[in-house]
Amino acid sequence: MTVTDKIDKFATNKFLAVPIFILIVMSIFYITFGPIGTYLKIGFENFIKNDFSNAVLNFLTSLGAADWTKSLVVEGVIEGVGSVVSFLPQIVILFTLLSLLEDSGYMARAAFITDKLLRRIGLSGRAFVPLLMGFGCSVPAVLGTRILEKEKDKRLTIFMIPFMSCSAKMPVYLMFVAALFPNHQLLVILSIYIIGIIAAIFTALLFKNTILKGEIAPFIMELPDYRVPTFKNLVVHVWEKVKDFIVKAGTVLIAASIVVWFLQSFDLNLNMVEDSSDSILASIGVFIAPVFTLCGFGNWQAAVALLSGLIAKESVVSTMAVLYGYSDLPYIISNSFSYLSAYAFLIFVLMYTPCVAALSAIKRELKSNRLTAIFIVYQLSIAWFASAFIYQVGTLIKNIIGG
Amino acid sequence: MTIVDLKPGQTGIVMEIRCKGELRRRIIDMGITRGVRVMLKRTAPFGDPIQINVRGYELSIRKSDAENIEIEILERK
Repeated sequence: MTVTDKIDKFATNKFLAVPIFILIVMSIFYITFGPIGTYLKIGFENFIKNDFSNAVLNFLTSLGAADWTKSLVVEGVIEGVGSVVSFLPQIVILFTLLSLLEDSGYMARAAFITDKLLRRIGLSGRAFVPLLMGFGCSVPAVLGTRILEKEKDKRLTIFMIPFMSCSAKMPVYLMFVAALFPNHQLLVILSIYIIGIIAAIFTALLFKNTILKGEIAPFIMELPDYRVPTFKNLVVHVWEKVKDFIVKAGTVLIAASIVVWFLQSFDLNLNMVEDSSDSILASIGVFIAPVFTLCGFGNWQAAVALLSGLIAKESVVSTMAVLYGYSDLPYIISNSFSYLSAYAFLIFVLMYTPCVAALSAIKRELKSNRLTAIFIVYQLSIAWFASAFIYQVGTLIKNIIGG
Repeated sequence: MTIVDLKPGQTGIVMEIRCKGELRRRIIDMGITRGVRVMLKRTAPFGDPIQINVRGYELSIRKSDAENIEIEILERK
């Protein structure tokens, strides 16, 4: 009996397979978001917020830099990018665990176990791999749908992937949860992920018999031998993803932070403003904000943050950090959002249109402008309705209970 | 009888692949051809698909697909 046979006796066992599977998925979640990930994140964050930020400030002062330069570098770039980079430890953990799962050969067993369930929503067990990858990043997940043979399976999976909350949305959740639900962090985050999965299933059921109709693909798949993941492979896989994240932080997020800093430091006549509510950014935000009144977060800062999230989801946090200031962020968030409006905001972030990188991957893989357009409109609408629904129903319940 | 009728641990010899087109090609691509030995390892926890061993490696195949693979049970010596 080979090692693979021995492991499969448990891993694909009639009674043990499902508990083992759930245990593995839950441990990934717990290790990433539980004490270990949080501890690393806080350490890293303190380093950027205090040591690094002060060192740069001292350095600039010693060079005799002008106040606006200091403001640009410290309040613009470091606060914006730093607020996102501090989530690096958790992103590294998540990607490490996902690639361990893939390299070990367990991912194929997961497909074997979940096939029956995925078939109910019109997919096969093979779709499980890209769907799980979606929790890391939508871009590789969307590219991963190439393993699916049928166009219909591919498209249906692509429509579901953005609801598998990607790691870039993590900073947004963590920021809000730490500010408003400090005692129930894990629970609130878990609920958001579960709502995302429910939305994905709903999406599949909605589209499988309408615009994404097609026959059922055969499901014949190799279950490769288990292997001990090699350290080299692991490093290569994780580094690829982390590199993307760092490059994004170094380019897109720095640029976005500078743009946000500029738009919030100057008014339409290009005079530096004292109060950012007189700025260009505020004017843009004030214009969009009314759309979100029914969702409970119709303030211009939230609108601007969501808008910048289209560039990269991390921007939602970096924009807020630039607008509110990094160190006061939790305090200000807990003052400008209620529990309910914060939760509605997070649900909107969970569901609305993915970042431009994911969108371009989606457009490339869907090979259809029409479907891409349908997809964007669908995501925006479901995000708005879900968010407004939660806020309105929540308010109603609160009023009834509160008398 | 077909692969689906095997009991876990039983081995059969493939006699015929009854389907046509894409499914047939997929089955043959995975090494399931006439005369080859197939052993049923187990059924997935939710009752479908099944895990089989063909030519020394493990395959996962749905029952509805496997029903097209006609076999003859090989009695153990």
